[in-house]
Amino acid sequence: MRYAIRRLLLSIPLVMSTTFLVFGMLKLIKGDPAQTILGTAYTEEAAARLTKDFGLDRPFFYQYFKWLGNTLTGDFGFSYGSREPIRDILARSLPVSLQLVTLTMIITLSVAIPLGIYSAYRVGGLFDRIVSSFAFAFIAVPGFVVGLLLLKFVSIPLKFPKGQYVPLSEAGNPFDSWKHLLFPAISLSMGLIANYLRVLRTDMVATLQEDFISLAKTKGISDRRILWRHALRPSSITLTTVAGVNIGSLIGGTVIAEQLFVLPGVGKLILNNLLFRDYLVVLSAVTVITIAFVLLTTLVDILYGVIDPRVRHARAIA
Amino acid sequence: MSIATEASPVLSEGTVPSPAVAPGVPAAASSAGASAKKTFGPAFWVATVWLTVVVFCAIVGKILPFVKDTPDYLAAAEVAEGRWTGVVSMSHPLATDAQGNDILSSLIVGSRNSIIISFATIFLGFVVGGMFGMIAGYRKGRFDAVVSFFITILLSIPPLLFILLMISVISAGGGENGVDQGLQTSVWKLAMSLGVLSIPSLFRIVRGATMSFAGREFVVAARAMGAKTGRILFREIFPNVAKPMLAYGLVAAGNVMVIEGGLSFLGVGVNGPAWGRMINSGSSLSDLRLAPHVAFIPALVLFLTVLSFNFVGDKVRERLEVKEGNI
Repeated sequence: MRYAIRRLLLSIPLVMSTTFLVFGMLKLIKGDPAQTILGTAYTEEAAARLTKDFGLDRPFFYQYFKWLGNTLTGDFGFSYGSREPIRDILARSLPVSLQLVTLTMIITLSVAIPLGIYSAYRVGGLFDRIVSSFAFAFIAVPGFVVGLLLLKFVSIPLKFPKGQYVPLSEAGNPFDSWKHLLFPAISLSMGLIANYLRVLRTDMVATLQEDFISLAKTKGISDRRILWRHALRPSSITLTTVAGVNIGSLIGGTVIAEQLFVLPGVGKLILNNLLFRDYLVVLSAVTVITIAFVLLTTLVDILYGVIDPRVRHARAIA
Repeated sequence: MSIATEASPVLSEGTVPSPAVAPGVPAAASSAGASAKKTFGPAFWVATVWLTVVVFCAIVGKILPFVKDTPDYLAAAEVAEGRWTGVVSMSHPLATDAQGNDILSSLIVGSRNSIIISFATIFLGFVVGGMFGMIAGYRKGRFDAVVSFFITILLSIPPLLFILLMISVISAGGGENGVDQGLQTSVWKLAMSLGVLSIPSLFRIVRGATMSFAGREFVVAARAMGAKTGRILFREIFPNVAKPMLAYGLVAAGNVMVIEGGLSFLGVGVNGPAWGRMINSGSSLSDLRLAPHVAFIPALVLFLTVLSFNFVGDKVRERLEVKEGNI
């Protein structure tokens, strides 16, 4: 418990530094925001007034802390382009990406865990060799290529609609919303499955050689029960780490998947607004994602102790 | 049926930092064969030959006699109507795209950017990440704590978002007369941003490897003889750390290629010919229906190249670790 609190406190400077870095980078981008905001209505006077209104002429640190304060109180400001409150924009696009990431994780884990366990169960066997070779090959397949293959060979022949995503809150039947995310989620999960099952297999093979497994076997417990109830938990430490870290690249992957499958998620939001140079939207979206990511990594760190009592014990001594 | 009684090579993989330390790099592989192999095997050589061919194309590029840079409009018309298989001939061994550009030629010309980017990226990542990693792993203490904190910051922004931000900073946006040039940038600038992105994971690998050597007898001996830190790092530790660096560098090069492909697929990457762009140019629904080869041939080439990088890197790592156990 003390460890958990210390770990949580540590994530505060991390969030601060990260947002500072992102804020600084966006300020470095060339081009006058006033020009983006005004577009064709651009005049010298209007630009000067806008710059003053948005506080863009203030010192860098003033702008940063003002923005940080506002953001932490939930006030993200307005989009330069559409003048819409950014909070509304995020409220629209975040759930889509969240849905996508959730579905991807569900698919990934429900395929990777059984495959990993059974390859470790018979190391070097036919099943193991086939699964391992496929996993090795799949790590090299970029997600967007899987996406294209799905479009070509499944989506198009089945006349599956593309780009008609229905938000979960508006769909009468939840399935109407989730079905649009199935292919993007599969395209994201292929590489992850390969990665996770290799990690799990490696740990599992090591665990299965430990004494407590032999003991369980001599007690006459069935192999299935040993695998799922005795061996899985101590073998999932590395998997948890990798899963936690990979959420970061998964978020990146959603940018590509959302683009390819035309989903109105946060990834597409960030990409589009970078192109339109509507930086406040980008800043807010990246900040929300980064905070979530940092908290998640922290959570994974704390989870170790829950998964493996040995870790908890070691921490108590340290 | 007994549970995993055979010895597995998996267990001997503990010396190099666990996969958890290297987010960008696929987990340490335990390839299908259970016995530790003394030879590389034919597949390794196939992969090496493929990589050699790709690198050769990247170097020679346009000089090759069969590289055509003028579009073939007759072929373009055929492809546009969905008869792309009819275009395959001696002059277009891989057909053309819907604009009449010869696909083989585009692949060869595009290989240069892909190869330059992945090699330059890894080089930068290792020069900066490796140097700090070695010093941090050897010195430990405050220096290590400070550098590691910065690395953690870099790692807390999801990689693709980070690279998008970096490209926005360096790309020539809001150009003259308000003409926006999009988010594309030159090869070297892109390699630099990707290099920054690769620093954290390479730093962690080198730091971990250095730590495992820092306490070894030969290092202690060198220190006892009064060797300076710089000498110990370069003459004693570097030769040992270089091996895992090479192996992970190869795998990381493959990863960079995937990221670069993803970026050009988004239309964000390099402002010249590249494989990701070729895939993107054939990725509209009508193209997938009528001319799927436009997207899938470069996708296959990208896949084979990344696979080869992973495979060679994996084998090299396996080989080197066997040796390490003998020290």
